[in-house]
Amino acid sequence: MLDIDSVGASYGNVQILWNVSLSVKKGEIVTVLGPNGAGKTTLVKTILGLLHASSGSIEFLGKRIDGLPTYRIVDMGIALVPEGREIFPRMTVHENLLLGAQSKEAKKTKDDSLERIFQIFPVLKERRKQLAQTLSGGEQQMLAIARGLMSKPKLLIMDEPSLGLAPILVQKIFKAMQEINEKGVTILLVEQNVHRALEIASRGYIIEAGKMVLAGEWDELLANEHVKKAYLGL
Amino acid sequence: MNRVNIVGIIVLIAIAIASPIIAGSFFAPPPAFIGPEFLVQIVAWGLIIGCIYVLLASGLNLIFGVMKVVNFSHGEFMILGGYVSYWVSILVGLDPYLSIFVSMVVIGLVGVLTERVCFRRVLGTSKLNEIILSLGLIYVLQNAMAISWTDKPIQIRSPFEFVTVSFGVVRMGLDWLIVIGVTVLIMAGFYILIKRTEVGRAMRATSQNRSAAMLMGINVERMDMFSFGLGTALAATAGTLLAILAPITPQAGAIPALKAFTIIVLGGLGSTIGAVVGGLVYGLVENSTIVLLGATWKDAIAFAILILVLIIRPTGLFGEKEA
Repeated sequence: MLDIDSVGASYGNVQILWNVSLSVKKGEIVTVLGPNGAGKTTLVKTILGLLHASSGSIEFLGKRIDGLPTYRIVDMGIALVPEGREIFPRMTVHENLLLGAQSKEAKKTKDDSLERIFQIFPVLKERRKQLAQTLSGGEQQMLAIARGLMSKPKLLIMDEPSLGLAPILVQKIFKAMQEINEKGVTILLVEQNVHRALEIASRGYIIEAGKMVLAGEWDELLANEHVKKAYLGL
Repeated sequence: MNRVNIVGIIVLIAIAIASPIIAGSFFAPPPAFIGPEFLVQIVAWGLIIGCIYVLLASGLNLIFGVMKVVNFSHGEFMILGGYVSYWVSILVGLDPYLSIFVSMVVIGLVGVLTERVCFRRVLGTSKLNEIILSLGLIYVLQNAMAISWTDKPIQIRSPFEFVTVSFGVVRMGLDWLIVIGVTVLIMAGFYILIKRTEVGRAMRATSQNRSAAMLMGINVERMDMFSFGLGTALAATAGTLLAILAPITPQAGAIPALKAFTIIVLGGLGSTIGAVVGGLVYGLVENSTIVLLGATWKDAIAFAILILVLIIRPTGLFGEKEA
């Protein structure tokens, strides 16, 4: 579904990503793991066209998407739940959700989408009329995910959804992710929380200093010596 | 709107009306003709001038909110709008108040074109480029207008020029009431567009968080174009109303634009309601200063209040801290 082939990306003169390759197949949960500053967020921004790849290619459903403007990429069916949530603070929860549905198709089915989303996150229904900035951190994360789902994405990319959340909320968010995946949405999960990520993901990639250093099935990664030492503290 | 805001506004309006009177008692003997009806007259005229500022500042504020660009040439778009209405009302013989709508469309399109051809190319390259571009536009527009229509002041003749309406003791020109009415109408339309429509929602999203708006699938460059067109269309309304109330020249936009900046800082950058309240308060302050202290003091008092606001509440009356 998503095929990234030896992509490089830079901020100004500083190259962040070097020859990064990655693929996601339909229906999977795939995770990208790595420490702070490894280039995970840069990778995600490059996929969404917020940053342009300096080399390599990115294909989605068999079509090149590198070089397209972000709104076209979103239109094709990729949604990003960005790091730090990035909700619209001075708008209501309801307005935030509606903003998620921009494509014609998403607009047509928005009532239906809202209903399904409120099933997964009932708290958002209660808070529908509140300004988004008055929500707690966990609720804001739920809103960000829900807003991403409003576009009816084929691929949902989540950038560190567990960042800054209490463990119980992290559990909730990860459970919601599995539910979303079961409903047919492919998920690319970018995480630092290796344990949790490999619990729900079928495959994983490890990125360090802008390069892919490891790729494999979840059990292979858990058994890997480097992963054990650097990420699991074993 | 929270309580701090409401108290703030009341205090500010009180200062606005009281300061020229207090200052006046120091510098000049109180004018002998101050009576209740005279005070009402001052307030009324202040509100009318305030209407022009509200329209001008709202457009400037929209452009700043969405594009994060300070359009220094906003006053020139306003005057250009005045000239368009002037010519439409003379050449076609359209009622000056109806010519507002023609002028809005024409200037809105000029604005859209300006965004597409000029601003889009420099947006995001550097703040300095944006500033120099919009400063450059001032001179381009001013001189284009001077070449086309000379420097001679022009004024739009309203069909109601000599009609007055009296409310008890107060007599007002019918034009004044129409100016207020038109402003209320246009601002109500603007408010509905921004708050209730899909495009408005997308514009607000772009202004609150540009990259998140992109991630929603919003074409933010199109939002830039819309907001610039809409902002300049509002300026065109202000220009037409100004040209009905007073003569204009190609250079007449510079000072009002400067005041519009003051107003959006006063109201809080990016705040829709802030621009409205700020514009009206500014009109009141300015006008009471002119009457009570003399025209030479008007900018001094007004900008003194601006400095006061910046010291006490730097985010403006309705401004919020950066999220």
